[in-house]
Amino acid sequence: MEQWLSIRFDCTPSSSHYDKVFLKKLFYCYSPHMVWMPAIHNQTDYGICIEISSCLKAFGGFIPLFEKLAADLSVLSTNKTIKYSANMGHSLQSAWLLSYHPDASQTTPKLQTSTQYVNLLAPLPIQLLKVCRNEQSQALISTNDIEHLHNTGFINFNDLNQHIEQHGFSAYRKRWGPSLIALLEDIFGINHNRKQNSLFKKPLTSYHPELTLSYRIDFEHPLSNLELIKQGMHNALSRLSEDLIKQQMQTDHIAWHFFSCNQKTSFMTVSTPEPHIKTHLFEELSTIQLDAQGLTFEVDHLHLECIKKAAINDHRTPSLFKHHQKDREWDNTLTRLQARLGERAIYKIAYIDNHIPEKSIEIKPINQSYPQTNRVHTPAPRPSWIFKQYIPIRQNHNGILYWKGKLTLIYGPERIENAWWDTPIKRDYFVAQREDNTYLWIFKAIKTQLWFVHGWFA
Amino acid sequence: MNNQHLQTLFKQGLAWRGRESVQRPGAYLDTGYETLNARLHEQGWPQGGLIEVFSSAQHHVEWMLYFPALRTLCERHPNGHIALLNPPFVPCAEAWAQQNLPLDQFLLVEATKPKDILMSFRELAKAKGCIALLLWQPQLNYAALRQCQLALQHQQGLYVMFNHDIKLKQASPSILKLKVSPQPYNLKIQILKQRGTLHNPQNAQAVNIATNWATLSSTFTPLNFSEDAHSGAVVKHSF
Repeated sequence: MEQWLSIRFDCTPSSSHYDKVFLKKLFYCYSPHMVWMPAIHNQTDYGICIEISSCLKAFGGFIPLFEKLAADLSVLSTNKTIKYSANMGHSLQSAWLLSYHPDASQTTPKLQTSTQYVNLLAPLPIQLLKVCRNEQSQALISTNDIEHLHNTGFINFNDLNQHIEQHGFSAYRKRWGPSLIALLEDIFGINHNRKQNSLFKKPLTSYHPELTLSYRIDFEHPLSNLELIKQGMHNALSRLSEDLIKQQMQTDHIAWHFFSCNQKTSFMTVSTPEPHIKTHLFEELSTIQLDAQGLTFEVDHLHLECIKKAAINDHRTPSLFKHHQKDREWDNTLTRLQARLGERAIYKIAYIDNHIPEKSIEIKPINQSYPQTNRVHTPAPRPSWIFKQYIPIRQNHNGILYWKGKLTLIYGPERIENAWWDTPIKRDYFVAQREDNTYLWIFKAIKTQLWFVHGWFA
Repeated sequence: MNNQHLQTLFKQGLAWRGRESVQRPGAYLDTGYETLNARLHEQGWPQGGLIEVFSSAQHHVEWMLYFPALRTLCERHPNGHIALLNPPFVPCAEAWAQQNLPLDQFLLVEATKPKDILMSFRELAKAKGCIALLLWQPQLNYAALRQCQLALQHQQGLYVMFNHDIKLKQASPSILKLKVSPQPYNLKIQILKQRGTLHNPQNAQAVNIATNWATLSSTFTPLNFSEDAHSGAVVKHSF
């Protein structure tokens, strides 16, 4: 049978001593199966439930376990006493409800059978159902449902239990739906007398503590020499690599924080296309980025933080075998270039089937492969180069066009205009030959009657 | 330098005697133009070495010269990448699609400082996935060009540097140096330097290669600059 220990703190959640992460770390020393319970009652209390049946042997029984836990909790605060109510239950919900029992206190609760726990629940008012949450949807039980139950004549849990024993769940299912049934089954420990009940049971949730990998390197005196700072970065990365290997983790994203004595800071993030357990590439990229970025102040200390990390065998992370070795080298080359030149300096282009020339080109990120559009909009000639901005062409009084030389129209016109609902574009495009035998793509804006160069046949 | 060292340089093709025409060992790539192939020692663009193409600041002839070779490279290496370092303008995706060039294989890199250009060139040249690297207006001095050439020594790609002809007289470690100038319907190419041959730039013989510019004028529609004349447009694109 499961044995759940509930600890309900009587405090405001904002208090630092009751910091969720901290408390989770503390309780993780006792059991990996823990559930954080919400602050509902007067918005001032909240707590945690842990399943301890599998851990009793390790602590030599329940009483030594609880005494050690109580001692740990008392050490948390030196100035003020932590107030909490502890109790036991045969399920998560029953333990949490019993933490509201008048007998629940900081003294060691008793281990009991499920029938005894149900008897303890009997005098509790059904309004306490609002502190429970649905196991499947993790939603709280609505106040309306609880009011309906109360109006129907259910005053306490004893009324509910007696009604279920006499009439079963059918009336509840019809009126309040399956979620309330699941909750009541959990509270009263009803298992439908199945032959292999464990097969139908939801496995216990295990808590995995968040691993924070961060390193601080202090220099003996403020440094402006980048080479010396790089040495500090090397030391921090070596420590990160050791920890990643120990914990069998990998990362693809780290962050550097540089601090001066007078509170100046600088921030730098480094990411790789694939997660790595070793930090050679991070060191190379950090060096390149630091050289390109530079520092405007003397560094007193630096801080390395490993932002994203995942287990090596985690299937959610991109596979190490996704790419061939050649592709990985290419990706690393691009990452090094991006570290030096910036992400926007490296890109690809794609063709979009659009007859407006400037809308037929799309700039794509390099890490994205895309299917090539084979359908070319027009068989009409297109220049190899397109100008980002159209360049005005001078036209003399005889109508002769000049742009770095006299232009002669040799092909066209090709009318290109936009849809009526869009920004009005109406142009006549021509291929023009300049007197030095250069071929240009020019257009005449119909509205303004002005000429522009738009491309170059190279 | 003693005779033994000199012989080693001759064997490696790093030095050659002036009036001897030496076939340099190494890979080559068909230029797509028979007349040009005939004038090049390797019967095509030499691979694994720096090629410098000079033209006037007012001319851009790079694609006419290199589209056939790049198309061949893309067909041979469908997973390879072609890097364009500091391209002068934006490539027209539609024109490239017309030429059946796989745009996904092209990578554009913009670097402004000479230090960054050199670093980018070396990084890309060393990458095994890079099958061709084209660089525009590098603003690199001889020492930097030498570093570029050294980075290419053991590579097998196509490496081209486009430069203004005002820098024509600047010393360069490139293995092939060309001057290109457009003619009405073809390109005039002068081979100024070719590894393994002594060239006199003053007497460099020109090669003319036909371009598809002639096809542009074959569809010429006589023009009248009155506004109504545009109603006879040869192609009209609108919704």
